[in-house]
Amino acid sequence: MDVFWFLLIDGIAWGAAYGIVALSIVLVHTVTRVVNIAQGEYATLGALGFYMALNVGGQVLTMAVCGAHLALAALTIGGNVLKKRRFLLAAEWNLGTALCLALAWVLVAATGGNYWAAALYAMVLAAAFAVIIFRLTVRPLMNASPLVLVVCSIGVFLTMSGLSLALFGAEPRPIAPVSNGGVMMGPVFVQYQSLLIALSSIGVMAALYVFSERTMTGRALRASAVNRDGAEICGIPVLWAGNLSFVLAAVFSALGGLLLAPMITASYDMGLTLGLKAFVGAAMGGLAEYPAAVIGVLLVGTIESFSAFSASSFRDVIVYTLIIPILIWRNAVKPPEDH
Amino acid sequence: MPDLKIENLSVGYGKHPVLSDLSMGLDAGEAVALLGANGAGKTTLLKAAQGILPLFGGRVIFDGEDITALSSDRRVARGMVLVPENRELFPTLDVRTNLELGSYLKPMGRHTRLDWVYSLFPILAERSRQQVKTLSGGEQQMVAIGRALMSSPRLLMLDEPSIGLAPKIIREIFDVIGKLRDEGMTILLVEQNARLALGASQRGYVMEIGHLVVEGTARQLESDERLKKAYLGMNTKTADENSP
Repeated sequence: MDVFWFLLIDGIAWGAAYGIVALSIVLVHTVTRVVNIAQGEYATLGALGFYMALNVGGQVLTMAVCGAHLALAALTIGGNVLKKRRFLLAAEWNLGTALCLALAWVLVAATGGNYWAAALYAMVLAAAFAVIIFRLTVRPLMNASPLVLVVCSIGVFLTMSGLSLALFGAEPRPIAPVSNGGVMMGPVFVQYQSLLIALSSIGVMAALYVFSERTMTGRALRASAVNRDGAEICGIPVLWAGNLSFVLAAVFSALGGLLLAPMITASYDMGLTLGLKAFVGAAMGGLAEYPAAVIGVLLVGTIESFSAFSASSFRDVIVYTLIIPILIWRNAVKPPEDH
Repeated sequence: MPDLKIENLSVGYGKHPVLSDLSMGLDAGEAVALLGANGAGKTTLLKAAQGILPLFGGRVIFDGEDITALSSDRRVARGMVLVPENRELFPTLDVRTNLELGSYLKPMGRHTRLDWVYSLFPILAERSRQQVKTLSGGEQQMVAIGRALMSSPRLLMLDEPSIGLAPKIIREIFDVIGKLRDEGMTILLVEQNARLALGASQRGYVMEIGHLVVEGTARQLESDERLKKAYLGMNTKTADENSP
């Protein structure tokens, strides 16, 4: 019986980490229509960026990313001046992220790699990548079909995983958990790290809920997800909303990655499996419904944990095969409808 | 003083022009009907004015300022707003949220404007917490107009507000349009129902496959033979039945 509880708790902890990434996938898909195959890569960036910041490294990377942002901002401002638009238009994301990244790095350097400062830096780093990727791959394709967007995101995935390999190297990086040890919850011992993952996941969900239900910006994001043309007519800047969804998703995924890293060691290819498993969970809600996506990832986490125990060599096979019954169930319960 | 001025406008979908070299204008506080048969390009003209379609050429001037390069949301911020033909509401959000999103760019005075919209369309106040997709077509049209009004526009552009609605509802909606006109709002009204549109306007244009063919006061147009010609194939009886 102890084994059962242990596996269940373990599964929920994994599911919670996948959940953060799955919510990112749903957020990006509803607002921008991009089925983002590359979402897991932000988790990789989060984990490896976290490792780097803990060791107070990454000056060059930080400067390079900031430089890329400043270059993009200069291009945008130049274009706006030529077209006689307000010149800061659309450059605010680049300028903003460059500033935040520089500040986060200063914070890391000043605190000598403090745990929380490093986590903050990792999330801002992922956001900085998201802004560049949105600008280069999604903005030019605003009116493309969803299929084109998927193919494009596969390209982004390949590029990002190659980039992670080049930037951080191939060897796995061990990351210490927030605190060793844990607490006894009933019959089982729960690690602090698992608790932190579960709490963060709940925190992200709650924040996302409050944001989209209670704030005007959040409602505008929802509105863009429901009807992009309608949002445009309301004066909601749809591009801006897409950009925001990409940034929020990157921050959440990076958080998921850096929280999960101590349990699996961070490596350049961790994002693929993380992203795919989150994707299986998100498919439960048709990549559009948050609650169903959460149920999906908890299912994925638990099934993975039990199959790792009883049929460990088939663990991933079983998890990925789940997508078939999920899609059949989805089609039976809620046939896809045209908008 | 012209409120909206369109100069030598060319616009279309993809590479195919629908309108070419079209010019027109609206004075401040004026209600103007834009008439014409299906496919004449009326909707295209409104979308171009709002900045939803990229222009091939020409200029759009609003309140004396060239807004050709501005995106659609910047135009809303300046006070022009479109109520599109297919309404483009947010069906899964409730009435109140739909209305509030109309004031996304103008949070100041949101509550006052909400009360104003509710007073224009009292039924919306009753339906406030209902999902928009559960509303009737007429109520949805009211939400669409109400949402546009939430941005406190100076220029309201309406695309076929009567389409598919019962005569009683059409009358209610046109009463409100008349009220807005009397309050001094500039209105550009696209309608297939010519009699209805001219009844609510001071002036009108008639469009025929991408061109403006006739311009005149509402009274002149009502008795103009060319108007009937522009509607070749239009059954005048149907128009009568739809009139309030």
